[in-house]
Amino acid sequence: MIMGVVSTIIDFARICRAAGLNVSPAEVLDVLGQLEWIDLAEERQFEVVLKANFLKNRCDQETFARLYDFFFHRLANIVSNRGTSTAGDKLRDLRGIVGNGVGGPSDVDLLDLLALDPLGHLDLLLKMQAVDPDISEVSLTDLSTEGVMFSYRRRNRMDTRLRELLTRDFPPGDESLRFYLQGYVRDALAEGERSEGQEGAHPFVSSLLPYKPARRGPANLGEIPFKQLTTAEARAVHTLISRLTMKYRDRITRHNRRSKKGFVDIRQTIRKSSQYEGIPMKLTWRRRPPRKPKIVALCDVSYSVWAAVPFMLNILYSLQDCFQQVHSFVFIAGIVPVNDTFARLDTMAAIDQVMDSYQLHYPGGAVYGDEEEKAAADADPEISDYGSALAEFLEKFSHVLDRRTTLIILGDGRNNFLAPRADILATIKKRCRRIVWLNPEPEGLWGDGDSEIFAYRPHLEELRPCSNLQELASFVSDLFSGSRYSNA
Amino acid sequence: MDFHSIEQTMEKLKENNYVGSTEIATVVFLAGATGKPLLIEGPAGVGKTELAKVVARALGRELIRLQCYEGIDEAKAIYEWEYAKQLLYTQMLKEKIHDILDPEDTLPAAVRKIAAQENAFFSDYFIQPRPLLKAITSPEPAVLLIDEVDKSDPEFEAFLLELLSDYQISIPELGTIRARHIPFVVLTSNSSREMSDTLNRRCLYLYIDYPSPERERDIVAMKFPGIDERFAEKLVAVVTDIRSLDLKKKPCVSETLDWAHTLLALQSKTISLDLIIRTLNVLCKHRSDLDQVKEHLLKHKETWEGPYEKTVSSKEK
Repeated sequence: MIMGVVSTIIDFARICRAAGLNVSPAEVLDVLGQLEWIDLAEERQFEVVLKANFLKNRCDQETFARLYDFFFHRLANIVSNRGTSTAGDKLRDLRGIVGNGVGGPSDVDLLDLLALDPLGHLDLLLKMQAVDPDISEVSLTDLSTEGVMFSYRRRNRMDTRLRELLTRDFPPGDESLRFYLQGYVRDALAEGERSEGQEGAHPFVSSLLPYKPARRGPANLGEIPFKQLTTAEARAVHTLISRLTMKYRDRITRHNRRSKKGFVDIRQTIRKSSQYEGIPMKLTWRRRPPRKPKIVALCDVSYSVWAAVPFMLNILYSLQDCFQQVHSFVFIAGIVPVNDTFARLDTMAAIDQVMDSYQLHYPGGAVYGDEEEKAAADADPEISDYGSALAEFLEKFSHVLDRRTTLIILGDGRNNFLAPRADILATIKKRCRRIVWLNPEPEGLWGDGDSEIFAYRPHLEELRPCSNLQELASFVSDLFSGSRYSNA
Repeated sequence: MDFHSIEQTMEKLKENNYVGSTEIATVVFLAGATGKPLLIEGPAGVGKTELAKVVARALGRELIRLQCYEGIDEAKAIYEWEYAKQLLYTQMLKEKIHDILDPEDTLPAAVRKIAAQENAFFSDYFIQPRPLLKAITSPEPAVLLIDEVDKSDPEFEAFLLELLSDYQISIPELGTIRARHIPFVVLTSNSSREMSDTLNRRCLYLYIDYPSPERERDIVAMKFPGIDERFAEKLVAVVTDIRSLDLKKKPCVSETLDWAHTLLALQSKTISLDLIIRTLNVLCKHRSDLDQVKEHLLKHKETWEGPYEKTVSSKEK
């Protein structure tokens, strides 16, 4: 095998790894072995070999295609153009390129890349510095999200640079680039603030972007309060949820299977033993139908607490088959059933639609709803009224409740000083098995100001905090653990 | 017989009525050449299982199929002891025991003698091989299809790992059984759950998506030889259009073929909008999908009414 090919494949594997694909050394060896079977002059075959070994999940298909194109087509182009100007120069001149709208073919390539997914690609370029000395002069460290970055001096430098970059007139039709760069800067700076724990919001960012509470201290994704997630983090949390739900589902099926083996069915066993002269060779177990909880969820989508709702809905509907039934409703003052939306659409699309109908978005983000920025609320915004929402639920939808139903309420109980009408909750309690209230507010704020959470508390089986993924996940885990919420 | 080259693989697949892309042929060829299992993912009905069947036909090998489901265990997948047969034999051979044991034997001596005979009941003779064991002990090389592996439990994957990495199976009473011939293993998955990294690692991965209109036309033409070319073209255009909608279940290749079959059975010469709507239940299996497609078709009425030329020109615009 030609050494050049070997090192190219190793480099490509490292880049795939940097982009999150699971490529082990064994897979690299497999590829090298398989290359002997194909015609290296045929690029399609070469690509298929890499794809069949490096790609293990259909979700990564697009990433792989982009990486392949970047590594084997565009990168070669950039490196071969080094005679005139280096890749590093080009990136440093990004400002100029964007301003003038003119550049060579590889500039256009670079801009394309940035427009597609700056976060991924800038990160990728960085990681490639370690791999390919030819592009080591790419100086994008100030844009990186890696490691302990953003020292004060660095941030100042970045400030000036980005201010120039972002306030400059973008060529018409290049709005997407500005949008992505802004999103990128916002996320990168939020990361920086978290890792450094510096006081105060960033002067430059705060003027440019909607207000975001400052975050401190290193945190893992599960510990970051839902309200403070950036768009990219919100996406990452949804990915985490899909992994978590997979784990729960495995656990539930295992649990159900084990629980089948509780009692020997004596009658069946004796009947079966007749073919073995009365010796009970095969034991028959009494099959109990798996215990599946019924869930009804009421989610407050008022501005103060909506951030937790999408994650809650994602978990509930991803695990739908593990429940006997899931009904969910969203409310501010009027209650709206959303089951139809979820029956019609894929879970994430349904969440987008529900959130969109209340015009709830992460600032400038596109996790929920379409990508266009919208006004924050209607001209005449609805304010939370738990009392009337509960009354309406009892009147119109109480048929979804029965003695096996767990009613989950997700909200902060902030009633804008309206009547809490806790007696309605007491009536509802009689119709269902239990009520669990998840409060996305920090525990210290419960009962403070217009929070009526303690008025509702006597009717609840449990009141638990639910401000981040960790707390939400521990609730769902308890929901399935036989001891606590079982339908025994 | 084996595949010799990518071109020959493509040729062989085609001979056996499978219209595959270069990618499919390349990966199938590699799987054959390197003896690695092939993990195929893709939406339902794009021909994942069919590919395994065709490979078996093309190689002239026996197809051994294991259909996975929730709760499948090694007794269903690998082997099981035939208790009834064992019991029957113990009953029949009761007399024989007296012959083996000497009346003068002491108890320990008798135990030793019986222990020496014990293997008689845990031998190949009383084992009932299930698909996995069958595949590796088969005297001729075989094609092993592990269908819908994503339906099985994660524990079951662990059993598969030993088979897929070393082509051997351990049976506690008999020891390790090695494959006489390495089978051509095909695993299919609808990605209802992600497979473990360790399993993925051992396989070549192939994602089969809905075919391009050209390939789908070839498939229709292959399954219904003599079908009018323009008829097939319009048929595929309708299906492709329906597939572009956001449906609960998009029509798959096998449904395209069913629809073609239906239309041919109705002896229709052209595909009118009315006919599409009347036979739509062959393509759409959910009520909400049916409504959505009907609404879409009626909205773009002019596209599907009249001769096909119009469709082409309006698409080109």
